[in-house]
Amino acid sequence: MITGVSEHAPGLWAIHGSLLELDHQLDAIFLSWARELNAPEYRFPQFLAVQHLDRLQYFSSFPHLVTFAVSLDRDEEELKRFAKEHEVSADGSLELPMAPRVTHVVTPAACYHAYVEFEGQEFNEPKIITTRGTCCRREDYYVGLERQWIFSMREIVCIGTSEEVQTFLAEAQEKVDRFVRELGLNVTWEGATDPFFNPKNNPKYIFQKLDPVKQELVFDGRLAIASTNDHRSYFGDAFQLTRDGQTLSSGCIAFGMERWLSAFVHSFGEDPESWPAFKVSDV
Amino acid sequence: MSESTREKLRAFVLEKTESAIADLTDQTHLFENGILKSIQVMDLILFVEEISGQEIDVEGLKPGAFKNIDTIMKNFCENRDEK
Repeated sequence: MITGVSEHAPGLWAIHGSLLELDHQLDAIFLSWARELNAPEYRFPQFLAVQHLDRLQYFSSFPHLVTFAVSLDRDEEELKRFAKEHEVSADGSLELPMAPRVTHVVTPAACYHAYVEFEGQEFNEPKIITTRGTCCRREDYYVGLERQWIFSMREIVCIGTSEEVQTFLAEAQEKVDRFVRELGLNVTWEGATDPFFNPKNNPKYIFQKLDPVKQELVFDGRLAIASTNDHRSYFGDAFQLTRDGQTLSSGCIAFGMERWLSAFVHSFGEDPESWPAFKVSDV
Repeated sequence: MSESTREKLRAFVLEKTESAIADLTDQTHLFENGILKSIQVMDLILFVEEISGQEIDVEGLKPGAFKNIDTIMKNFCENRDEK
């Protein structure tokens, strides 16, 4: 296991020491790009309402990834019984005394909250913001720093016309290219599709094949550490984001923070002394 | 004379669109210009399968294959009415 990374349970890792410092330094770079784009930072809640995600057909597109936020009904008697009788089984599971209705999901992608935040608003110019979220995606298997149940994502999001979004994405991609060149990371941009469930029967997957809207920054030919996503009018339609009565487009650049740490360790080793130095002012 | 495949395709697009189309041509980008919504791509594929008599391999789809009526005709219906 890499120094500074400890596994708490399948999919769940803690980070500390130099790796955590590196995370902060990298994030400072991404934040500086957001500042250059006049993008204010937002902190969003950890949960998303199922009614918001359902508008995006999330439950039909990504049912395999979702993690629900479950709480017990506030029934005094049931709570008393649960407090007294609950029992964690040998397999590590806990049976709930009733089947509570689920209203929220643990955030699967940081940028979704931005569309909820701006629902119904009209923008006379491009709206660019940044946020960092702790995201949650259930996977078939896990690898520390690379494929975690819970991971960190920094995003810069743009809401605007199709041209404005494309200009934003090109500019963001340019910043990334300059940075990875300076670092000497072995990465390439590759066309990609989202990990849809039952993709062949999902119009969104088919649409992504016909009209590529996602580019991933792939490290060593195997690990996507960032992506640009042109959502077209998908979120604009779902959350009524408009200008002069016309639905707006949106796009984002996303950075998988732990994966950047993995790319550093695999490129330059575990000793922080061997990592390339960089500062916000250098970029 | 029966309706040509191309005419059927134009009629399908005009029937399905929710946009006010002033001038739909065979070169109009169906999705980028919002003539059809991305969610309607499945309907379009099923319709093209129906009028072309051929099953479409979704995994083998290439970018731009359904860009406009011309590309759909070229990619999937060439051996129906036109060469």
